[in-house]
Order: sequence, then structure tokens, then C-alpha cells
Amino acid sequence: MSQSLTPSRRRPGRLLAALAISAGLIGAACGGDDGGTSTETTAGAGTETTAAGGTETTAAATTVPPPTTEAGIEPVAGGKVIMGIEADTSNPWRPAEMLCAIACHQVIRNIYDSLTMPNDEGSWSPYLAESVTPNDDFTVWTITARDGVTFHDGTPFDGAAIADNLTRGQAGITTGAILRSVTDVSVDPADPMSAVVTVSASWAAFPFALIGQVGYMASPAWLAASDAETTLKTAPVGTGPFVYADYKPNELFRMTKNPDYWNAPYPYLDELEFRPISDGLNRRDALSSGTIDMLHTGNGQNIAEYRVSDEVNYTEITNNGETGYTLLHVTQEGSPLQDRRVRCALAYATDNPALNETIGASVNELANGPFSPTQIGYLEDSGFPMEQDMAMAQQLIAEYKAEFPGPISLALATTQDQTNLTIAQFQQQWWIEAGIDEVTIDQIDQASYILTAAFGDFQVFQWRNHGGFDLDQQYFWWHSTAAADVGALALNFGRIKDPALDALLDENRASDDPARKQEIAEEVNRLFATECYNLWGSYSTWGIASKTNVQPPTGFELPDGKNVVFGAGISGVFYAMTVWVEP
Amino acid sequence: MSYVLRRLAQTLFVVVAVTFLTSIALRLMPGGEQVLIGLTTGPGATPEQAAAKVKELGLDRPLLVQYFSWMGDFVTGSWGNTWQTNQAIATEVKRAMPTSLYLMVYGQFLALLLAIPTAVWSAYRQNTRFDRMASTSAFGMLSLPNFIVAPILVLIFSVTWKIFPFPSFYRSLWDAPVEHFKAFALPSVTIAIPLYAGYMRLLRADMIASLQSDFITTARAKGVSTPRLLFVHGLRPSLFSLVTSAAVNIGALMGGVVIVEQFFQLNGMGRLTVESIFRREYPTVQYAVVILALIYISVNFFVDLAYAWIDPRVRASRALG
Amino acid sequence: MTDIDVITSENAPLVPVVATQPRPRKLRRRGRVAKWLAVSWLVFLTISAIGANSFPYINHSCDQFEKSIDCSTASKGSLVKIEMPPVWATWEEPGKDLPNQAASAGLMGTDTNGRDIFARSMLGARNSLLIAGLAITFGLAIGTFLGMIAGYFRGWIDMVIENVTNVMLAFPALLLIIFLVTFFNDPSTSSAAPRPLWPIIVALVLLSIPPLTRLVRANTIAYAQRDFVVAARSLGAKGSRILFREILPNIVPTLLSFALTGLALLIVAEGGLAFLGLSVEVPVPTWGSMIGSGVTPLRQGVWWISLMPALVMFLTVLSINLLGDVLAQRFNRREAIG
Repeated sequence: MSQSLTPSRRRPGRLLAALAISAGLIGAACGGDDGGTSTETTAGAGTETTAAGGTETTAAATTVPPPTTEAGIEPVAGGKVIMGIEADTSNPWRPAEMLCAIACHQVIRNIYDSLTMPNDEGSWSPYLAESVTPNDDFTVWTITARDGVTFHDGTPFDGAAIADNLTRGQAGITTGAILRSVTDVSVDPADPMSAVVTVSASWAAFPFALIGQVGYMASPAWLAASDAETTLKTAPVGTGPFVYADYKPNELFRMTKNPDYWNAPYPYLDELEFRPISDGLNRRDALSSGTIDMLHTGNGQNIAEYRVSDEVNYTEITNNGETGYTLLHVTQEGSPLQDRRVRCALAYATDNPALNETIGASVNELANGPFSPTQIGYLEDSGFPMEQDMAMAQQLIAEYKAEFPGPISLALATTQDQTNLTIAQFQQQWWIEAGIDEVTIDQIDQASYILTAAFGDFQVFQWRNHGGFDLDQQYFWWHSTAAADVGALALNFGRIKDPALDALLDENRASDDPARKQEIAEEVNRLFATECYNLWGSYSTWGIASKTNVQPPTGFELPDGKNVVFGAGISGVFYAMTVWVEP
Repeated sequence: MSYVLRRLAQTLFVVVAVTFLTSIALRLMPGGEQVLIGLTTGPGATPEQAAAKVKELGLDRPLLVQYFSWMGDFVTGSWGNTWQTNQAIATEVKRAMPTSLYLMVYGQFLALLLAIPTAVWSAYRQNTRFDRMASTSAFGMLSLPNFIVAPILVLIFSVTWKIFPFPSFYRSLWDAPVEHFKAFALPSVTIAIPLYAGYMRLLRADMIASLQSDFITTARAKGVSTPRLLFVHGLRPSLFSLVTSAAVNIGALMGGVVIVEQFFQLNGMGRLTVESIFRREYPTVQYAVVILALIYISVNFFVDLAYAWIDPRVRASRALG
Repeated sequence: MTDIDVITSENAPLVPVVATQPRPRKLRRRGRVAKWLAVSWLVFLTISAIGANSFPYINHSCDQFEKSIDCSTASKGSLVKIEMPPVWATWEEPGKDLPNQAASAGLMGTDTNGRDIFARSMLGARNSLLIAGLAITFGLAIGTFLGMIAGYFRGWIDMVIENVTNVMLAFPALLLIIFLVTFFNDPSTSSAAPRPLWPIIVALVLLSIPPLTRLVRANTIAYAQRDFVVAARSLGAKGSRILFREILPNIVPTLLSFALTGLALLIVAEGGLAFLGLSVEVPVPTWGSMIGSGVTPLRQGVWWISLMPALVMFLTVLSINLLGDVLAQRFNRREAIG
């Protein structure tokens, strides 16, 4: 059966003609979000865990390096680019306090550098840090600051700065959760350019955590000043390629070139401005109308169009992407979802390939587990039902009802976004056909959506998560210690309390044997498939489209000679400092 | 003097009632304090962090105390910062007000510019083809939701013909007048359409009645020219409903055109209020509500003055009532 | 909300312009045809709305299909029939290029879930008209009552009612709606509970009361000064008798005109609420929610999902208006004596 990638967006001319006709007949003159296959909710806190575990050596999964500039074409300095992104950020912009999701990282990585970066060998490289060295049993880490680097306000970058930032990180909400096993942070007495971090349990992959929010280094002078004068909190000062110029919530974030950036020749642009445009179609129209120069999108339709369009430059980011899925609350009192048969019935009843094709334009790859093809633990066949089997679903429900007679009802929570609603309605239909007696769909406003999950106030929930690299980055999403009671905030939204899963997660955290870690991750993958804790959708793809004279972002060479990787640890991240404009 | 006092008392009553009801309504939003904590701290906050946040925001005090504290802050001008973005609330409101003001003014202007002549001519030429078309199309416009009109306008004028920017990022009138008008063009038209329809029908109905009056017949007999007859003698006494409606719409447009503001990304008072409601930014909502209430009351006051000007008979009739 | 406040515009002078109503010209031939078209449309709509699920032209039987997923009617979607254009729009391609594409597409096409839009429009008529109709009815009842006692008895009753009306008008409409809708839904999303209809109706009622009260009050004041009322009073008639026997019958034409316009505006207003996600839950159809959910496809070139229900809504609103005008003219002829 053929599936063309013909964009479903039609020539506006036809639409206009139709409109003209309608207008003539009537005689009178007569617009959430991006839609992915599953969900495009950007959360406030925590969808992007930057906690990492990982291996020192090459993982079995291969990483895909981002494109590099074509040979022979020299980037030109200068110019200004306006970029449309998904959302604005809550509690901006201090590293320990901000609730950083994709749109946040995309913006703030230009102001802050992170201590380490992911490289194309499946590991990490020091970036802002000169080196990150462990002791023998990985309980003491020494982070050395790069020489000659100063913050935008002139403050020198040294061990004290690192220590200050990490200490504040310990007090933060998300960063604090990641750094929970850290017992001490202090300046190295022997070397003022280094900071020493002590952890309570062997943490072989600590440097991976420094790729993200925990590793953002802000100027201690600014941090202290904004403690006193809180409106300064939104004027961040870092070491990055761009300097803060202006921020207006929900409107723009403008930054100008840092002429003394330590990683020459970057950046190329003189000025960079980010504009949050939450509706994916609005973003698309903004680019078409020329109001913005570049955008970032996860919407399958848009991506399908951009892939074949010659009106825009287009780059795709598929590494270590998040997974869109339906989250189930599995330990709720009295809920039918406590039973494996009901959960798996829902999985068998859903026709995922059809959804991906019709609604997602087949842009994304179907998911069979939480790990996308470049993440550790990915399996071609995890045991999760990938095809609809309504008979099986009905059989499972019948079995359950034989044991627990009575009607089954489910509440499905989703956002206001049209695509998610469409998917939810299909799911509702299928599940009723499978034997669930009642399925209601609850639309929740964007602001409190993630909180509904965090409080455990849901049964079925559309979500997107689990980007990253190493299994350890998912620790707090799945471990039973993070499963607070309903009514309290928890990161383990589904309240999964599985001793087998806990054991695997704990073992992975302490291990530095890459082969064993691979096995563990794969076991976790299979466990999820057997228990049907979540209903997997598809792996997200991100695309960056820009005007034809704006060269999209590429990779770059890290100080140690390796190449950087898009998105590892933080799905959808790219490097704006590599963007340049053709004059 | 007692008139002034009475109006002041009324004003105070309305403001207090509206803001107090707002306070209560905010508290009763689903999720209650929990959602607020979650939004201002983050999922993963420990109970201690949550409790500390509650104290920091002053939410452990009884409702009345909080209410008076916020109202006091409003009056003294120390409005504080938003809870989640650390922006001075005063700044946010100062940014939102001009946007709403411009939108309201341009929308009303466009609507009235078209409505008054059309209505006058329709009333004069009642039941002719012009009148039927104008009336029907006006009613049609009333039934066109703005969330359909806006994307169509954008499709035509922004995406296809690239005349106007989309979204309409606000540009100040003083800094960049051309961009300013371009930014407000499509949103103003979107708003103006239902306004026009309402005004047209209103004015037409009142004009029709006026044109039957004796003094019109007299003036006509005295040989007054048609335009003068229509626009000077006929229009003035017919303005009641129009003025009332336009006045009420001032308040409504300032605070209520959320859909248009959201779609075009113009950060006006409507959007500020609604987003603050969903994000549980209590002080912001309170202050926005107070301002909108005050605007509504002032508009009412001026409308009453306008009535007296429109028709001296009103002053007399008012004396009765 | 601007839409609601346009209701205010229809009639809110503190003192109405009292003048004799013009004698209407004979309705032209075209006018009569239009009137009958309007009536027949409304009749058709009402019958369809009431019996939506039983009529075959609305609810195609699903028994004939092997997999229920192939059956496309008002409530059962079909992955095979997503975004198919109406049968008469022969120049259009389907919104999605799907394998095993169905041949037929229905009178108004299918939506993003593959459901027949015509069938849903008929079902939606039921919900939209119910919500708007109930809201305007209750609003009328309460507003008329309040307006009459305020306008007739004056004094402190009038002052209280006026202040309350002011508060209601100054209170941000959207906040009221958000609060009512979200508070009275089952706040917990951890159990299946369809959204009740009445919070939206209550919200719309509360929004229509103030302008109605004003209108009725103004009219009552004017009529209370008229000779026949003075006469009745001097004959010893009690207040309530005067209100119901003398004043109310005279207000009825204005009220009727207001009611019809209000109905139309509330239908649109409900649409706005549905667009913001504040109306009945999905997948229950209302015209507003159908139009709203069609906006995204509209911007991608798939126009029938929102424009077809918009057309139905427009025709309905137009018919109501036409009928309203006709009725008003009938009443006005009789009024000329007053």
C-alpha cells in the first residue's frame, strides 16, 4: 500500500476559491500547540531530565551526528535571526530555579555554556569544563574550569563559580532531585580553578548530568545580585556565545553576540531573538509570512511539508528523541488499571500504525518502548503489541470482568490541542469496542496539565518524555521512591511501584560495565512491554526550518577534537551559535 | 454634591464586590492550593518546599486578610512581582494596557466608520435592496465567530499576499508607526466585524423610528437638504442605543477579546487576565480586574453625560426617574 | 465577551425613544419566499435534531460493515474516511492521502476522526439549540422579573438591582465562565464523568441577565408613565396586577426580538467557549466545537470541517432572525394603537 509523503496542506488558491464561492453565496464577508503523533505537551518542570548516567566507552547504540557545513562554503559573520519556538519558560532564568523544557534549553544554551557536552562516540566531552575527573570508585569528582573564560559581566570563571552553581543546584527542585546523592560541593583547596563534588554512592555517569540544567554555569556576581533584587533574575549572565539584551515574558528573548566568546569562531550572528509561538500552525504561518526567520517544530504535517519544500532550508533532529505515549496510573486505589490485563487490553485495542499514518503523516517512527533507536536499551522487538488485535483486547477484558464483574470506566486526560483530541477520540472508540464501558475525555488547560500528572489526579494521560541517553536519566520517572501518594507531587507520574524495576534501576546506577548496562536497559524495555505500564506511541522528530538565506544549525568540533551530537540528554536541542545568514 | 457622593459610593461598592468575588472564585478553581504550589515550585517539590512556598506567597493567611493586603497594595502602588516569571506586575499591566487600548480604539473606529453611514442610508431607504442586503449581511456577520474570521484573514493577507505580519508582534506607535498599523490591521478588522453588525442594526432601528417623528417631517417641509436632515437632525436623537452599546463594548473589548489576542499574539489585558487565571497568579488577576472594573465605571459615567448631550429631553425625563 | 454585550446594544437606553412605529410596506414576493424558506429550514432542523439518531439519512446503519471502524456516522469515526470532502466538491482532494480510501464522503464531508459532518451538524443542532435556548429562556425569565420590579417600584429595589447589575457587568465574563465550568465539572480527572451541561447554561444565563434587566427596566419606566397604567392604578389595581396585565404585554414584542437575537448570539458564544475548551466534552458535538476543531484543518486547506457547520449555524441564525423580523412587524402593526 502506497503512502506518499504528499503534503496534506493544499494550495491556498483552492481554499481561497472555495472561500470566494462561499462568500458570494452567503453575501457576507466571511486557529495549542504542535500536534505530534501522541502529544506535544511541553511541560514545565522535568520533562527534560538532565540527570544522566552513561558509559565512558562507546555504547552499542550509534549516535547520528548533526550535519556539518558543506565543504567550501565559508560561514559569514553578521546578521540577525528571529526564531519561533514552542513556548516560554516558567521561573526564568536562574539555572537552579527555572522549569526547563525543550524551548527553555534552546534559548538559554546561548547564554549559558554547560560543563560537558555529548559527543558522537556515545559519550561525553568536557566543554566549559577543562576536565571532569573521578576518583577510583566514582565517589569524588573534580571539575576543573577552563582557563581564560570570563562571564559576560567580567567575573572570572573558576572553581568558586562552579561550586556556587552546584550548591545552588542542590537547593533547586529539578536540579536538586538530580543531585540528591551529592553530599559535598567545595572549591578544591589545592587548585582554585577546580571544584570537588562528593557523592554518597558510586555514580559513574555523573558527567552526563553536567550536559544539562545542572551544568549551566551562571555568574556568581549576578546570582548574588539577583538574590537581592529579584527582577534581575530574568537577566541571565553566563559565559555563552550570546549576551542577554532583553526579555519580555511571552513575547521575546533577545541576545547579542558575545565578541569575546572563548570558542571562536562562534557565534556568527550579531543578534538572535527567540519568540515563543505556541501554536504550531501559527509558527508555520509566521515563517511563511516572513515575520520570523527560523522555526522549530514537532508537528508531523509541517515536517512532511518542509521535507519536500524548496522554499525553506530544513534540518532534522532525530537523536535520542522523546517518546510520545499514553501514561497509565497503575497503582490508583480501585482502578481497573491496576490489573495487567486491562492495561494490555488497551494496548492491543489501539491501532498505532494507523494513527501514525493518518494523523502523524508517518513522519515519526513507531515506538515499542521508552527508548528510541539511538538510546541504550532499544530493541527491535520488545514484546509490546505493535499491531491492533481487537480480539485479544476483548478477550483480556472479558477475563478481567469474569474475575471482577461490574462496569469499567476510564477518564482520559488530554490538552486543548486538536491533534491530541483527535487521537483521544479514536482511543476512546477503540477501548469502548474492546469492552470498556465508559471512556470520558477531559481537556485540561496547558498550565496545569503536567500538574495533573504530578499529583496523580488522572487515570490515563497523554504524554511525551524519556529523551536521553542512558537508563539512569529515567531513574526518577520510574523508581518507586519517586512515587508519592496521590495528592502529593511526584515525578513518577504513573506511580509505578515495581520491585523488579527498582532493582534494575538501582543496579544500573551503580554499574560502570557497559555491556551489563545494555542488558539492564533491555530488560527494562521488556518489562515495560510485558506489564503494559505505558502505551507507546512514536518517537518524536524535530525539524528546524528557516528562510533560504538562513543557514540552519550544524554540529561543531568540541575542544577535545570529537564532534558534538544534537539532542543527547535533551531532546530537540540544537546549537544556534552555528547559524549564519547569507548576506 | 450628593450626586457625586452617590456615584463614588456606587463605584466603591462595585469595585469591592467585583474584586472580592474574584478572590473567592480564584480560590475555588479546581486543584486549589495544590496546583498553585505545583506551578510555583515544580513537580518533585518536597512537602517542606511546598510549605515554604505557601508561606512566602502569603497564602497561609485568612482570605480576608489576603484580600485587604492585596487591595492595600493596589492602592499604594506596590504591586509586587508575578509569582512565576518574576516580572513586576505593574510592568506587565503597563505593557498590556496600550495594546488593549489600541485594539479597542481601532476596532471601534472601523466599526463606527462603516456602521453609521450604512445604518443611516439603510434607514432612509428602508426595505430597498440596499437595506435588505445591508441588514442580512450584518446579521450574517454576527453569526461568524471570530476564531474563524481571524485564520481566514491571516491566510489571505499574511500567508498568501504577505501584506501584514503574523503573529502581530506589538510595535509602538511612536517608534514604528507603519509596523504599528500593520500589526494591528488584521486584529482590528476581526474585532470590528461583529461590532459593525451590532451597531448597524441598532442605529438603523433607532433611525427608522426617529425618521417618523414630527420634527423630521417639519424640517423636511421647511426644505432642509437630505444629508443635513439625515446626519444632523435625524442622527442625533437616534444615538442612544449606539452610544450605550459602544460604551459597554469599551469595557468588553479591553478585557474580553481573548481569542483574538491569543491568536494574533497581542499581549493585551484580556490575554493577561485569562492566562493569569489559569496560572493561578492571584495578584495579577486581582489588579487586572480592578482596573477593568474602574474602566467600566468611568465609561458609564461619561455615557450618562453623553445622554444629556444627545437629547435634552433626556435631562427632563431623567428628572422624573 | 463582545458577543454578549452586543445584546446590550440591541436595546439599552435608559429612556427609550418613544415614537410611533412605521407601517411596514407589504412584504415583497421575495420576502415571502424567504420567510417560507426560513420556516422550512427551521422545521427540518428541529425534526432532524430531535430524531437525529433514528433517521437513516443521518445515522447510517453500522451493521453492514465488517469492522465497525469502517462505519462513518455522527459518533463513530473511521480511520479510512478521515477528512473526505463533500460529494459535491468534486474539485477537492481528500485531506489525507490514505490507503483503502473510501469512495463516498457524505453530504458535508467527514472530519478529522472520519465522522460524517452532516450527521454531526444535526446532532449538534440539538445541543447548540438546547444550550442557547435554555440559557435565553431562563435569562429572559429572571431578567424580565428583575427589570420590571426595578422599573416599576423604583426606590431602593431599583438601587439594589442596579448595583447588582453593575457588578455583574463589571465582573470579567471569562473568569465567571471559567470558574463555573471548571468548578462544577468533576474536578478530579481520575474517574470517568462526562461534563454536565448546566454550568455552561448557568454561565450564559448570568451573562444575559444584566442587559435584559436594563432593557426591561427602561421599558417598564416608560410604560409606567403611560396613561393606561396611571388609570389602572387610580382604579386601585395592585402593583403585581399592573405589572402582569398592563406592562408585560407591551414589553413582549421587544422581548421577543431580543430573545431571538440573543439566541443567535448565544449559539455563537457557546462556540467561542467550545473553542477555548470550556463547553461540553468531546466528542459530543455542538456547532461551536465543530467549527473550532475545524480551524486547524482549515489552515491546512481542509475547509469543510469548519465551514460546513458554520454554514448550518449561519442559516439557522439567519432563519431565526427573519422570523423574528416578521413577528416584530406583526406585533408592531397592532402596537400602533398603544
